[in-house]
Amino acid sequence: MDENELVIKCQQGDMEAYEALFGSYFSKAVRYAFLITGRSDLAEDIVQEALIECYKDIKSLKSPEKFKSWFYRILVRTSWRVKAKEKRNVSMDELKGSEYRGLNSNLDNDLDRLVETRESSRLIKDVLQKLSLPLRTTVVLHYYNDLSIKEISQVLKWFHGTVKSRLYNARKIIHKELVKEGYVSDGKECGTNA
Amino acid sequence: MHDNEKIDDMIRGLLDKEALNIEPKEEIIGEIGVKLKNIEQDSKLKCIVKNNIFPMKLNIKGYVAAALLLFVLAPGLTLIFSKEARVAAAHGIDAVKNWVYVMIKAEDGYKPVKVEVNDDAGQFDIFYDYVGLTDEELSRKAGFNIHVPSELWGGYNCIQKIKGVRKSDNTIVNVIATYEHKNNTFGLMISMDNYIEVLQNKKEFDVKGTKFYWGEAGTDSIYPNHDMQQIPVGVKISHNLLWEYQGAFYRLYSSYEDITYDTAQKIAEHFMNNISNTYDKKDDAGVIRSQSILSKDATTEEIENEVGFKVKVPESLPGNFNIAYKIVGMDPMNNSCNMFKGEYNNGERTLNLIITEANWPVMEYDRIKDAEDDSRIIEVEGVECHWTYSDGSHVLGWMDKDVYYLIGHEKGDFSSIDEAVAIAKSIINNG
Repeated sequence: MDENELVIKCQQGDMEAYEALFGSYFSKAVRYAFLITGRSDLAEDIVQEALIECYKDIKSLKSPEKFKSWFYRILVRTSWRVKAKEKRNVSMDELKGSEYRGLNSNLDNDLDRLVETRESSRLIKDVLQKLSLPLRTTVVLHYYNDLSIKEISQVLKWFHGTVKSRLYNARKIIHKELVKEGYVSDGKECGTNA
Repeated sequence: MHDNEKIDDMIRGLLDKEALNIEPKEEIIGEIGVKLKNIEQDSKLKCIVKNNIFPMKLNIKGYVAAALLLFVLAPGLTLIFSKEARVAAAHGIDAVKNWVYVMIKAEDGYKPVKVEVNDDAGQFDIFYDYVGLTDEELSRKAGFNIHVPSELWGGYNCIQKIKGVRKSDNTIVNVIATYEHKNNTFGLMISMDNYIEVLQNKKEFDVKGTKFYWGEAGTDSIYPNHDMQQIPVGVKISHNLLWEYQGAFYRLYSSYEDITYDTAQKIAEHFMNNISNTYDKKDDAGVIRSQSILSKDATTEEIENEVGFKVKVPESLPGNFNIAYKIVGMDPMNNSCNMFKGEYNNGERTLNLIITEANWPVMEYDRIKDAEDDSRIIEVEGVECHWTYSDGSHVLGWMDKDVYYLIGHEKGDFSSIDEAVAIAKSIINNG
């Protein structure tokens, strides 16, 4: 059954279709929320809340082929709302620096890789922290969730130019951080090809 | 490999690796499914809904923004500070809202093209004149540091400071200051959007460590009698001055007299020499970032102290509705505004009263005009109200003393427009 059929079934209240439809987006959605918030507990809350919203509102989706952007729009708005609410609450995860409970167990015995992973984790956390929420969202949707500029503009209801400009600015900031950390040399200005 | 591609790959790699630090629990999907099957009985779900103080249906479809003045910014068109746009705005936004002529560059020169403004332009909903506010107060309103001098070099005096929210972004705030001298007008737009790369043939200079950029920002059309709905008689290239200061981006336009490089340098020096204070970044200042449920006994004065604007919050409403919750928070669709939500219950149904300083009515008004359902404008106690069908139910909204009121049932619809009118009447006449 393709996605459009699943959406229609879901709109008719078919729970199996619901589980199949959202199941295919679930992992990427949780990880998106984790990258945006930096907290696994919030990430799960966000996705739960978003999925419930999706279920409640799916009948309002008139074009099943627009499901992807509709779903991400609800996910983004939910993540922004939850993030705003939780802004002042520092989690234990954050106090500990970062969380590794989800790491593959085979990495635990590989000290070098673990150190490398911790280092890259710290780096990306630092980099994401430098980005405002709209910029961070644009970066994660584009580079992690593989959404095109057009898709992001549909999700966030921004003009193409705005998405491009956000990506450009985000890359510039990230580039600066990578230079600072010695990961790349300070070459020419970093723009967007997107 | 190209540098940019390398950076892209690095970002992808880092994000992929970081994302592996959470292992999504697939069973959550099933758990949600069980919850949804018992949606009416599930107390946990009700709790989620209860805590979601601003219903999604109002966030998405009910979100409207008032345009006391509507300006447009389209490719090749710089109207935002033009006299034409301001004159048209003063005579009613319809004059600039539907279409205007612009000159578009073709292979054999510039050609007039009719542009549907609603579809093609970056529209700003401009609201609230903050000319009386200081930089610090403006920074609170905008959420980022702002320096708006009372005058610019050349004898230009600030006559207006307004805050706008771009429709396509909703959360993106622009502060726009207008300066006048003789027959010319400067506009200074401050936002978090960087347009420096947009400038063509730009020159860069430094004043007190701040980089300024002067360059071609596009072409302005020259209209007969300043009427944008007449075919332009020519074009002129306009130059802008752009700079970044304390994380915000400044963009200076001129209406008639172009900004020369020499003028740009003088304006830049004057700007940098007249910054008297700097402020701490005030992300949270003036805006309630975390929602809080107030005591049921909270007085109107206490609510007003929280949100910072006058509210009318009756304890009960027609239909035997009594206040159950008084909640304050940030308008989720406009991070620079506070919002109040009252939840009223009559034992069977829940009615929401939203009061926000964000402007919602005009977008609704635009929608009403085009709507094929029974959405319409009605008058209640002399106040213009917008009766709108949205997402399977109706809401009624109105503006009262510069804040927007909106009522709607949590689930289901009003039994009739009369029920909504009676409730609105009760609120409008309260206090």
